[in-house]
Amino acid sequence: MANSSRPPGTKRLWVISSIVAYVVFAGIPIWWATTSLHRPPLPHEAIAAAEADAGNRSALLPVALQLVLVVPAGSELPDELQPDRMLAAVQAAVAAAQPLQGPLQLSITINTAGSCSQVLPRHPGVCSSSSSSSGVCTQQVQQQACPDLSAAPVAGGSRQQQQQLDAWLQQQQQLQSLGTPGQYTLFVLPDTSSSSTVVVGRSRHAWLTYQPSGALQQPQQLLQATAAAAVRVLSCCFGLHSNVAALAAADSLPVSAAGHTQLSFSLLHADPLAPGSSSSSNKDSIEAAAQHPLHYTWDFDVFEQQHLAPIAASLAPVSHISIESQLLYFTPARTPGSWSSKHSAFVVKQSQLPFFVDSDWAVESGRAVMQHNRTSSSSSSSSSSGTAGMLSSSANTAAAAVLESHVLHFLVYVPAADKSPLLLLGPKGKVRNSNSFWIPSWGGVLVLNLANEIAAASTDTGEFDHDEGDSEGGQSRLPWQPLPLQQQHYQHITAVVIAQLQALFGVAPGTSSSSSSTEVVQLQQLPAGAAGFSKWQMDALLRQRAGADVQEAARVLGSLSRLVQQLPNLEMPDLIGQQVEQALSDIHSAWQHIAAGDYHAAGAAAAAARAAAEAAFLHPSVLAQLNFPDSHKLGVYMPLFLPVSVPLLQGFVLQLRHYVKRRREYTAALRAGG
Amino acid sequence: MLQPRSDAAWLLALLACAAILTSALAHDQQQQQQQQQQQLQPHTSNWAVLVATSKYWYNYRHIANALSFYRTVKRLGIPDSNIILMLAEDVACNPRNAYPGQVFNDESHRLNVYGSNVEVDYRGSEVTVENFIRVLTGRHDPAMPRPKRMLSDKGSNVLIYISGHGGNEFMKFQDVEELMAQDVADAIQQMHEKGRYRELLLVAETCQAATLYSKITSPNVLAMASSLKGESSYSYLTDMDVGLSLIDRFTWSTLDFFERVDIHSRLSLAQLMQIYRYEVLDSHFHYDASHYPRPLDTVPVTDFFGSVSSIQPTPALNSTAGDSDSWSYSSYSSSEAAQELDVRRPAAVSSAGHASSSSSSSSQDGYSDCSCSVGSSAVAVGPVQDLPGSIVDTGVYLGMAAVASMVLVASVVAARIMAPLLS
Repeated sequence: MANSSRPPGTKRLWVISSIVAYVVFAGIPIWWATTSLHRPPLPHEAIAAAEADAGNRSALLPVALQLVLVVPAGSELPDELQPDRMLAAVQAAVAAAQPLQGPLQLSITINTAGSCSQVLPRHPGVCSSSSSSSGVCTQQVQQQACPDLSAAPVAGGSRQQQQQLDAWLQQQQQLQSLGTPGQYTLFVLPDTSSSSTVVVGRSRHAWLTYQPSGALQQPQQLLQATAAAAVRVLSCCFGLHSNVAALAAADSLPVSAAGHTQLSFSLLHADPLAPGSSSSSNKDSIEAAAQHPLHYTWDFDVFEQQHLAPIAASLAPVSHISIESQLLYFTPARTPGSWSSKHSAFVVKQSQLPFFVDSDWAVESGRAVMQHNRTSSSSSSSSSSGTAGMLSSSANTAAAAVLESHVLHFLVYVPAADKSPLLLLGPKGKVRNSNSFWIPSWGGVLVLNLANEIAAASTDTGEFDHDEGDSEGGQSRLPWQPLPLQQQHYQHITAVVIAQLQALFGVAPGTSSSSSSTEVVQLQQLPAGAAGFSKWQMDALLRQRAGADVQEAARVLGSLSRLVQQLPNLEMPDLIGQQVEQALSDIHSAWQHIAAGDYHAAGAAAAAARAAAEAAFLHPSVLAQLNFPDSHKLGVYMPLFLPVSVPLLQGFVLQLRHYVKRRREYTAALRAGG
Repeated sequence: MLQPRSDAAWLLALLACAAILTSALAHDQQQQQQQQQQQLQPHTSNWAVLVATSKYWYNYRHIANALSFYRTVKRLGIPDSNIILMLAEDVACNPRNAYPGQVFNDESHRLNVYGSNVEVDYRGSEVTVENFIRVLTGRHDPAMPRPKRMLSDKGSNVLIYISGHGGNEFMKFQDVEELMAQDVADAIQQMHEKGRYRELLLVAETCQAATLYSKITSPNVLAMASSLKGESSYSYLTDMDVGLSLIDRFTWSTLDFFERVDIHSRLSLAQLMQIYRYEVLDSHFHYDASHYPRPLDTVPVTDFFGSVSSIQPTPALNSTAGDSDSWSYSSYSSSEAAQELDVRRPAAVSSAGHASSSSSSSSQDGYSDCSCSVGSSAVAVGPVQDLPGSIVDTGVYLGMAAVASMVLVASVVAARIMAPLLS
């Protein structure tokens, strides 16, 4: 070994060190980069703020109630009925009764032959129902010209006359550009016959009549009746509907998280091959039925267009409705019914009704061979895509794809000919109203007794309405052709479906006014038209849904945020980040619209926020298996790192020892030599 | 010279440190902030998730367990659309089945539990831990058809029955992967957060089954198990025709009880829990009601194993859509007090679950072939398989490949350089 100035062994050490350094400084970063998870940064602080916000703030849309006291021309207004005193009295009554939670603005208008004096609180926000007392709110009086309402066609209490008045008042309301969502009017109209009934119209108004001659002498009585009526209409209708509140608290409004509802209609014919009914008077039809089995069908396209589309359109602000239908044959009910001579019909007792629907009926959605999937929302442009109920914005499209819509089943059950007519009994053996029942959040069942009618009609083809089906164009029905339902059946089905839908959505009239006997004023609600839902019913639903949605959206985002923070192994696509941003901005705009009292915008923003938040939370790429314990990581990486690192470190240690040894020898040699 | 022993120990310690450091932080313990006991939502629907996790023909009995439960809950009124049935092996069509297309749960072969009306939602290789948890949490691919999803809500009572081979805090799926107790707890906690159940009953039929729900802290969850930690859960009699055990003892006892239950029954969960005897099961039945508010003797078994519907009268019709007075049966209609009726859903006509003829005293003949791994060592090692969609394993394998290739290159270079030096 030649002596040199440099100590020996350095070269080897340098080589092995560079290899170790290469592995440590190049290999480990590459491994780290390839195994680290990608996730978009979520705005955790903003989410926490939104969640706290949702917990603290009242998410209820404001309600404004205007009382219009119509005084006939030429009569003197007593002091008690001056608008400011009336306002104070009504405010006191409302504050005492507390008919609704949330902000309320009251105003009084005295309409005397075309001139109005209106009193409203100076600061609308201050005079909410909770804080108002007569002294607090400063008032302002406005004088303005307005249409003369004393010409209202108030006459009698029949349904037709009421509808006439209703239409007239709605017209007046529109003339004054009132009646936007959340803006309600209570008309107090002079009439020759006073009644203590306040009538709630189809639109956003109600009315009460008084006898001008008597009431103006006894203003206290009128004042009391008016205040009671105001409390009544606020608590039953214009405020938060109590049933909707109960439903929404249980989150059982039949609307999916993405704001979709699917109405699934099934026509079930229990037994098309059953021989004809013995109760039929027409002998020919018995023979005909015996020879040619009858099976029924419906022209669902026509039915949907004529009857269901208006309902779907009126529900559009609350939920996107899609509709499907199917025909099922040979579906006998679990409870066939027993003959009752008292009713001269087959009857199913009340206690048997829960067993009526057979769980083997293939009524669940998505099974039907023929589906009428069709968007019936206002945005008809999207319905051409063929997929049910897609919203226009991309976030909601993703949400609709991830979240299934809520399905409501409507079964139209046609009993077998030899089991017809079939009646569903209510309590105490009375016949059930409209021969139907409904099941919460599931749907409704209607029994349609057809056998005799259509069998009779089939012998007389002249009575067929040609609008109803192409198959009826011929002169006589061929024995194997199905019999379509007729217009009257469709109308009956529609009426039942509307009533059941209202019950399912919790806005059925009459159910909330059970304790009415003790009230000062009685309440009457005019039924909605073909649309199925009155405007104030839609407002109540919208009010509830907007509030619930915005809070739920914030809560879901909070859950997602906590989940993400708790699980460092969770990997997420960027889409979730976008959906979270979208949801946050929608929540923000929903709050603004709620404060501004814009019902439709608030409802839309809240629904969009909820859909985006739910879609983000339920995104399928969020790993299903969230638990990845450390022992598993050790198990994964041990087999890799142990075999790799042992020779590496072994070699390094070997060379280090070698170097130390050589170095020691070298220094010893130097010392010896030196 | 080199001292391999001490070096190896040193290296191991270093590696363990590195592994722990490089792995991400420990999975946080679930925040056990028990939500305040809220008023229970009204009960509107029932859902059942029935899982047989075991692959292969010789696990016939696990499939028969799940099918027997399927039959029972269907008989008690839960419709097919509300049952998610997951069978990891299609024993009915297995070539070794002497009764093709049929599955029996007792040796008299009177009842084919794989009848004409069975709708299996997930079968064979679809039965994975991932799919099970996706069903529970509702995170599905958009293309997943509706019948394969659990669409429960805040008014739903959910029954989860799981049968297969398991061990301490895990459940084997398909012999290749494990469902950990923490997975179950996480999934149920997320169901709770998303309002996917009103009350939940978890029934585990496996070895050391009680450990499977040990991590659950979500409210309104009740859990039942066939065996305690350290115990095996045994199969019932062997059938000489099929050549295997047809059913497990715990399920057999449960079905024996449900033989007496129909849709009107008011038998309670407490009565169900009293039937399990150590002499029959050869293991100790266990239940956990610490997160369940209602006293068990007031809860009818049909709250979970059956289906409830409440019938409401249709409100008065508005005669708006045309003149419905012409409707011929409107003369029948009469005003009717709004009265709610809360009764059970229809009972199926199908015959009851299984043969009660074989007396329980003969259970001493049953033999145990339970192949559970005892102890927790099996959990620790071995990669978690089948995590598609995650970058975790791709990254792991890429990293492995990268490091391995670098080491290869490095060693070649080192050999090249060091060869002349060493020679």
